[in-house]
Amino acid sequence: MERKITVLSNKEIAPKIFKLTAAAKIPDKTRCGNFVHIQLKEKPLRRPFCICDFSRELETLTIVYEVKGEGTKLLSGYQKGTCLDALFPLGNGFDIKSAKKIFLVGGGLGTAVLPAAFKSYEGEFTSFIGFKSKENIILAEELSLGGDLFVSTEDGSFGEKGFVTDCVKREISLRKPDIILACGPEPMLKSLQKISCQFGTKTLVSLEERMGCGVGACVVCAVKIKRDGQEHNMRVCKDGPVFDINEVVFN
Amino acid sequence: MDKNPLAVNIAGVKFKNPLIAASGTFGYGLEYSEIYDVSKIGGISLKGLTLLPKEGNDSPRIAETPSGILNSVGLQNPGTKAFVNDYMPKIKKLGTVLIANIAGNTLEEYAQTAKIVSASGVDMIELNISCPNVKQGGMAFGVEPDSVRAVTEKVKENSSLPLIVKLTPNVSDITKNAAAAQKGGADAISLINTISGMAVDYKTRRPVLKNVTGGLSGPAVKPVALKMVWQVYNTVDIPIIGMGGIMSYTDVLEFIICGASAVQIGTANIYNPTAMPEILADLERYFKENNLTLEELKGTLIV
Ligand SMILES: Cc1cc2nc3c(=O)[nH]c(=O)nc-3n(C[C@H](O)[C@H](O)[C@H](O)COP(=O)(O)OP(=O)(O)OC[C@H]3O[C@@H](n4cnc5c(N)ncnc54)[C@H](O)[C@@H]3O)c2cc1C
Ligand SMILES: Cc1cc2nc3c(=O)[nH]c(=O)nc-3n(C[C@H](O)[C@H](O)[C@H](O)COP(=O)(O)O)c2cc1C
Ligand code: FES
Repeated sequence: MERKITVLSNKEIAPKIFKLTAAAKIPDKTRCGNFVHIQLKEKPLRRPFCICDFSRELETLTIVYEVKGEGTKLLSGYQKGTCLDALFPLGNGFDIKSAKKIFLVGGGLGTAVLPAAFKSYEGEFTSFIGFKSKENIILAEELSLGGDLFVSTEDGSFGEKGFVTDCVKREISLRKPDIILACGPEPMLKSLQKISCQFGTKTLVSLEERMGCGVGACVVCAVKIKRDGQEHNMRVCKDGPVFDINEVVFN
Repeated sequence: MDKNPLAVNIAGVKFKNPLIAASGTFGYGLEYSEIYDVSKIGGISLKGLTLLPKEGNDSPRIAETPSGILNSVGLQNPGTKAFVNDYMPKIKKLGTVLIANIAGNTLEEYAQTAKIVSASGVDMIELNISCPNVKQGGMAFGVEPDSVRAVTEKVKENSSLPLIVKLTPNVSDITKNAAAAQKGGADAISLINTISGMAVDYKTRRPVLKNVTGGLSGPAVKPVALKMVWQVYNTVDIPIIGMGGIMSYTDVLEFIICGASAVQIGTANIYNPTAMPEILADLERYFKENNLTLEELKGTLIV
């Protein structure tokens, strides 16, 4: 496990949303869906962020985060050269097996999990990302480099008007993906669960829950997962954050 | 004479050093063994076990507070059967002292759990008595001295392993509970478990924890823990394992000075997965530089 990263750049890319790139040695096993657990100097608990992108050659790691509370506010103030204690790669990541035709689906900030897919898997990618409005769009350029990209906004100010899942539903019968990798708010995931069921497409989602240790030992990060007909509390940090959407029990 | 100045013997069990991972913060040791060689640490108090599997409370189960955390895991654990069959074969290979931390809602549950874990290969039992006694209106077993004594006796009858009774700080006079544990046959006492508390989000007007209340741990509780260790040290004759907010080797020294024979480290592991080997390295250096042993430092508080 790697522990040290050094901030190279930390810029606001949309209102309250920052992209932080850091110098970091990238372990071989790093893949899309893993997360990094960052110690902020002034806060007891580490903060988890998905590994948005990485480069083994350039030795860089990128996260994209929203300023939500005190921790992310502190993070947004770290300048070039700041050394951080960051544990990574943590969590299971997306296990796509032998899938080749891959749909990447992101709602809002959930989009941040997707770009690393191009570094992690060989395949034919189609990306779908949805936001409230034009000003909230993030990572469109990065995702357009990996394949076709569909952008939707709820208010229609950019791309297609409506939810990202409307777009997915239309394209799924045309493009017949082997797998869907997704991250986003709960309503989006619920809608994707229905789509996945209807079309029988394997769908993996990355979930969030409040964490302690981040390595599987304290069992505070429980999410409800249905296996063998029974609901179990499983650990987002170790058993997840990626789960099969059909096993996720939404509130 | 033992050459290792950090070696300690508690109720006949030999520890390489006085640093024991606190129950619930170190799982069954397996996750941390992927990060460092856990045979270096003195021992592990394993995640609290109940007779049957327990799913625990709903999330969120953790809240960050100034200088600490609140948790409301609710004793999620795989139960004794899976513990013995699936976990113990792996845990046994960790090469450190293994302490089963057991819990229950009735005396009978404690008895059965103690019996099963005693045959599983662990070295000691730690009795978590912070659980509600369902037959007595749900008040925790650890609150009334009489019930502390009753549950200690019950477990002693059902196990021949050395027994540590872990006291809850949520009581009016902890020395009475410590004395009751000793009378019930406890071989050692550990303290403190978490202090009950809550966190509120003023914006949503909701508690942060789904369970509303939880247990406070971390640096915030250290002064309370030190006081209680010192009080209990002045009350009982059996060894004491102190804990509560230990983050550094100087914290360890403070607990030893107040009378602890060994310590447990909990929340520090959550903040930093390599906290224990780091604290151990500092502690080894301190004892070497000062040409001291643990035994010499124990209970040397000058008042
Ligand atoms: C696996 C995983 C991946 C994530 N990836 C990203 C990402 O790529 N970009 C991004 O902006 N955010 C991501 N998050 C959410 C991010 O961790 C929180 O927004 C952040 O921790 C908030 O910290 P804060 O101090 O600003 O907020 P505060 O509200 O002050 O935080 C208080 C406590 O609650 C925790 N917390 C608050 N919100 C969340 C949340 N949604 N999930 C988990 N813990 C939370 C904090 O870690 C902290 O311990 C991810 C969460 C998880 C679990
Ligand atoms: C997440 C978490 C889970 C815990 N689970 C248990 C448990 O199962 N049994 C137990 O006796 N104590 C449990 N505790 C209490 C700790 O073992 C310890 O008594 C307490 O946290 C104080 O020490 P610390 O400040 O070093 O963490 C738990 C604490 C935390 C933070
Ligand atoms: S955060 Fe500790 S088990 Fe997931």
